[in-house]
Amino acid sequence: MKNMHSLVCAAVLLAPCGAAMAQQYFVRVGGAHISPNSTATDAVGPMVPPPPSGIGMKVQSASTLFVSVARAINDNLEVEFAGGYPPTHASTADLAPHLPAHVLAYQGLTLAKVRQIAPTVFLNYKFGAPTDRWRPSVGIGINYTNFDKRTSTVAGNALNGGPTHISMSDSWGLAAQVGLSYRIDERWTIHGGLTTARVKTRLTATTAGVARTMDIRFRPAVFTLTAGYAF
Amino acid sequence: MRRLIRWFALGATATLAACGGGADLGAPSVHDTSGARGSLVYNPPLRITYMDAAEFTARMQGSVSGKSLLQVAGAPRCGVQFHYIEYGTVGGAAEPTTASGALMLPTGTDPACAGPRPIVLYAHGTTTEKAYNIADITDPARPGASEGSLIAAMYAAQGFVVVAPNYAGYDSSPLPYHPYLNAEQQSSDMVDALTAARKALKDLGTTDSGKLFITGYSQGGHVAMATHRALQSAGQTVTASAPMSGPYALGTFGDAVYYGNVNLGATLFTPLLSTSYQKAYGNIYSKTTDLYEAAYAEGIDTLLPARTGMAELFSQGKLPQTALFSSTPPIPSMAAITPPTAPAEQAPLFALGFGANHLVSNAARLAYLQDAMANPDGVVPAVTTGAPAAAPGHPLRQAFRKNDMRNWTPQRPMLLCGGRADPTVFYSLNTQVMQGFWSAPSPAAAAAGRVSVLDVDSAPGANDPFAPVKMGFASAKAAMAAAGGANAVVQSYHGTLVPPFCNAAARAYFQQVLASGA
Repeated sequence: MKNMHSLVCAAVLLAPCGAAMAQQYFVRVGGAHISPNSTATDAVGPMVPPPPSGIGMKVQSASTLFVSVARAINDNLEVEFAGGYPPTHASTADLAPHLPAHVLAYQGLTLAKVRQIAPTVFLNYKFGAPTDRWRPSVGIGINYTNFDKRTSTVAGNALNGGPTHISMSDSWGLAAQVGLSYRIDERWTIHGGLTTARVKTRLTATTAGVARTMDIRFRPAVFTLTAGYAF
Repeated sequence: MRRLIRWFALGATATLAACGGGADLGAPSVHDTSGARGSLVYNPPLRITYMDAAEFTARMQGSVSGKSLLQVAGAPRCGVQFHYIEYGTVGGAAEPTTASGALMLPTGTDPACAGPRPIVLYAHGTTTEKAYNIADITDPARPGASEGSLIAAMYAAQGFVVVAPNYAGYDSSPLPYHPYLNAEQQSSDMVDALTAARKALKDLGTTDSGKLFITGYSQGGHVAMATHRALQSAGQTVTASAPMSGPYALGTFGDAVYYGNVNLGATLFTPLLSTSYQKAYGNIYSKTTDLYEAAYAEGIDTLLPARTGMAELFSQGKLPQTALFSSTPPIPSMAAITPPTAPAEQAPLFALGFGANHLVSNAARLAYLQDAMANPDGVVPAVTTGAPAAAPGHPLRQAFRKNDMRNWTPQRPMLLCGGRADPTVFYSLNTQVMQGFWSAPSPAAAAAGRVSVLDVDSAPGANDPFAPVKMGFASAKAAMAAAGGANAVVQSYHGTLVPPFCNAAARAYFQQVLASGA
């Protein structure tokens, strides 16, 4: 019954639950380094070389400000809402070696800059007792990723063949994380974490009305180092 | 505490709203949706690909057909930027539509490639494939890629800006048919592509020298001639033109076919023509069975251009491969032209046009021929005036006359190029008929030296400027005969053997006109 209650709490996220339990909020602020580990299918569409076109992209790493708010459900479970300042990633050309020299000249160049907003909700299990100095944790959650700002670069426009409008579909997927926190005192902790998620998007690059697409899959590794404060 | 959470959530929302999301194109782009004739839909237009001269050479050396093209066209002097243009134009009934095409720009530091460049406006040959895109040379297997590569090698890589429309009804054009051999529409389509291309030039860093050359092959030969005529009558510049292997004297040619001189490809040309003229004039038939055998009549008016290849059209029974007419004469007195047995060397070709599962009904053929006999053409069945029939009564013959080129005289240099043994577009009934029409004592005779005629399938004369072209053609024809026999020569004559040599001749002719400063 208690578990059921916990799940309901998780479902309603940060809404206050039964007053009987220990109430505690944590705010964690720090840095995040995001290695997207992206893989993209070859671009397809009108007037690109026949499949496999050999034209792909790699989304590069970025660092950003990380903020999360968590609410304890009991001594071991918490619901965490993770967000932060939206990072902007460079997306670079990933080209097959069989392509002609004038195309290969773009290899590694930044074709687009993509900003993503990726709020994620976790249900975390923290091992040990609240008073333990070191507490490892694991969590699973749901990630939503929105690529809210997409800018085609000069190189991107040159490779695509003109000023290019980029759209990227939203992604919903499972997320998971492991963490380790070090308790400084009743209020303060230092927390390190490694998060991943299943993120996939369809990128559509439209140049002079001609749309080409590629599917990009991410298996990001997000390293966070934060200072936590408990209320 | 609850307040803190609310602040956080609010903060996130505010961040989303304030940071100006969306897509940034990274450069200005104009989207003209006016649909006006000659409007350029996207400016700058899409650049499909780019090759410098060395890369273009290497690409051609990578295939057998490329190597032989390289031999005829010569080594590229310029790199080529391949752009894809979309432009506003009209359909066969003057309905507004859009079409697409190629804009190829020469680049490089060679003096032949830099500075103000002349334009070649190129009209492509008949294709049954809706997906035809002459601008897309990225995959040699795509429809349009080989003709696109040919004109890139022939003209763009030698310093000409090339504008080549795909025509309304092809590629991304929303027009549900193609105004095939509709002189008014097709010349408008060409002029609109040229107007749109000129709008693109400014931002692409290429300057138009003001010299305009018009050429095209087969269907495009007719289109090129019609475009020269249209620009001339509009008082606009034409520097020179070179229509190649085109069906210029449509009235003569059409009558010859119905008299039994069935050309290779007639079962494809017939539905393209009848659909085009039906859309433009509305009187070709009231139902498709007025013209076609019932086995083919249903859906034939929307069959071409098709999403499938020619082979599929034949194998699915949508069209007969060669049998245009029945082997049974429409009336007994027409037995001698069903099929004709003379001239002997063409009899086997004509015979292919007759068979059991034929396309055009005997009733339709008879009605056409009765009008052809009552209101004869000036060349077929017998040479009389050399002019088109004065007052044809049959709607298809009226349409042919309307689109026949025997009604004007060029005032700028023109080269008519073709091959005398062409089994698809008969040389004697088109190129030579035009030559006669523009020679004294014809009232439409052109100024001396204005119209030149080149038969690539003839022996070089003394001081013949086209001797290399003629010798090149002869050796290509001999090689084809050695590899595949006489039948291979017939099958490849119009579509493969003649085009590179006529284009090489056209280029030499244009360069000579440029050099003469005329």
